[in-house]
Amino acid sequence: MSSVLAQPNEASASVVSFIEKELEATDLLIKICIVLIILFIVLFISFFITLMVARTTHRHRDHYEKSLKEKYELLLTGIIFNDEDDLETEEFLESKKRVISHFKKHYLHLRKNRAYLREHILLLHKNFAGTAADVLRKLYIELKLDKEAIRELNSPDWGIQANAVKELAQLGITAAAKKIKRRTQHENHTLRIEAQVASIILETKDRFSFLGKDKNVLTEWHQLNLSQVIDKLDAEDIPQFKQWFSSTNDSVVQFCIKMTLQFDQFESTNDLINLLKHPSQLVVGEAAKVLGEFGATDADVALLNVYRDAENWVKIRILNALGKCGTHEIIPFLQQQLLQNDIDIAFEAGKALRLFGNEGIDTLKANLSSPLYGVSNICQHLLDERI
Amino acid sequence: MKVLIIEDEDLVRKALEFRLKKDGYDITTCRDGREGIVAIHAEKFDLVLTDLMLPYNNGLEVVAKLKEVQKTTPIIVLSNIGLENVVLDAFNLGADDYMTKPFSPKELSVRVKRLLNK
Repeated sequence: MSSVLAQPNEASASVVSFIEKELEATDLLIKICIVLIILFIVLFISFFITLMVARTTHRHRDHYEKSLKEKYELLLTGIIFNDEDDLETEEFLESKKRVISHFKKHYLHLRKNRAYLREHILLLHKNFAGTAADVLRKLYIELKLDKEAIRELNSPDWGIQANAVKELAQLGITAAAKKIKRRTQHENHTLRIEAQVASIILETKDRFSFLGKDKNVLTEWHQLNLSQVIDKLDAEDIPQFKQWFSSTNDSVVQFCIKMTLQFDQFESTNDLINLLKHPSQLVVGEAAKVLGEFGATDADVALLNVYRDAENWVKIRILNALGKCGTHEIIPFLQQQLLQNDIDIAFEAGKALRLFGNEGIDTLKANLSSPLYGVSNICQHLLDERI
Repeated sequence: MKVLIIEDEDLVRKALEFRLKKDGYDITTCRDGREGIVAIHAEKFDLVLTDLMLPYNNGLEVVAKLKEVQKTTPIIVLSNIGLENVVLDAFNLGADDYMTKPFSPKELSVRVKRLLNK
C-alpha cells in the first residue's frame, strides 16, 4: 500500500530533479525564458479556471433567476387574476395563505429574492388597476415588503432612497408619508422630486407644504412630474395655487401660475395681474400667457404698462395675450408693433390683430403694401385663408 | 377564438395571457412589433391586443399593418400614453379600442368580449 502511494511522489521528485539538472546545465538567459514560460503557463491556466468558474456561476445564477421569475409570475398572476368574485372565498384565501407561506419559507428569506419580487409587484401595479392593483398592494403589505422599503429610506445611497420613495408612493403606503416628507427638501435633485411627488400622493393634509419651503429651482422636468401627479388628484384636493404667488422662489411662482391655468382657477386673475409687476421676467411671461388664456379683459392696461421694459420673449407673450384678451382700443398699439423692425414681434402683433375680426383684418390689409422689411409678407401670410 | 397579444414586458404579457386564457381564448404571444407583424401575416386572428411602445415596430405600425392584412380583425391598443393626439392617431389608423395603463384586467376582459361579439 505504502509503495503504491510513494509512486507519484517519486515520479514528481524525478521530474523536479530533471528540471533542476537541466536548468543548471543551461545559460542564464535560457533559464529566465524557461521560468517566464512556466509562469505564463501557470497564469494562463489560473485565468482559464477563473473564467470557467465565473461562467458556471453566472449560468447558475441566470438559471436560478429564471426559475425564480417563473415562480413569481405564477404566484402573482395566479393571485391577481383569479376571478374577482372568488377573491374573498374561504377556499381562495386558504390556498393563498398556503402559497404565501411556501414562498416566505423557501424564497423570501434572501434579500435579493425579495428585491426581485418587489420589482415584479411594482411593474404589475403600474400596469393594472382595479381589484388586481388592490390585491397586489395587499400582498406587498402581507409579505412585509413595505417595511423593507421604509428601511431603505435610511440608506446612505440617495439612489436606493429615491427608488424606495417611488415604490412606496406607487403602492400607496401612507405609513411612510412622514419619513418621505423629510426628504422633500433634500439636496439631491432626483430624490427631492421623488419625495415631493410621493408627498402629494401620500399626504392627506399639507401635501403641498414643500412649495412654501423649496429654495431650489423647479426645473421644467420637475414641474412636469409634479403637474402629472396633481392632475390625478380629486378636485377637492387641488389647492388654490395663488397662495404661493408670493414665494421668493421664482420657479415655484412660475409653476403655480401654470397650475392656475391647468385647473382653471379664474378667481386668481387679479393676483395674476399683480404678478405682472414681478421683478422676474420668467414670472411676468408666465402670468401674461395665463391672463391671455383666461381672456382676462381687465388685464390689458397692466399688460401694456409692462410691455416697454419687457424682454423680447415676454413681449411676444404679451402680444399673444393681448390678441386673446385685449379690447379694440389696443388695435393702434398692435399696428405700431406690426411696423417694428423685429420680425418676431411684428408677426405676433399681426397674429393678435387677426384675432380682432374685421377691424384687425382691415389693419392688416392696410399694411399689405408696407415698404418696411417683412411687414407685407407677414400681412399676406396672415390674410391667406388657406392657412 | 384566437387572440394575439403583443407586449414587450415579459411579466405583463404573461399576466395578460393568463387572464385571457382563463376567459377561454386561444392565445398567441409576441414580444415585439416585428414578431407581431410576422404573426399577423402568418395566421388569422379573431382579435389583436398590442402595446404601443414596442421594440422594432411600434403599436401604431402594428395597427396599420393589421388593417392592411386582416381588415376585419379588431385591435385593442394598450398604452401608458393618454395624450389626445396619440389616441386619435391610433383610432385614425383603425384601432377599435384604446386602453390607458393602468387598466383593470376585468375591464379588458369585457372589452375583448364586446369586440369579439360584434
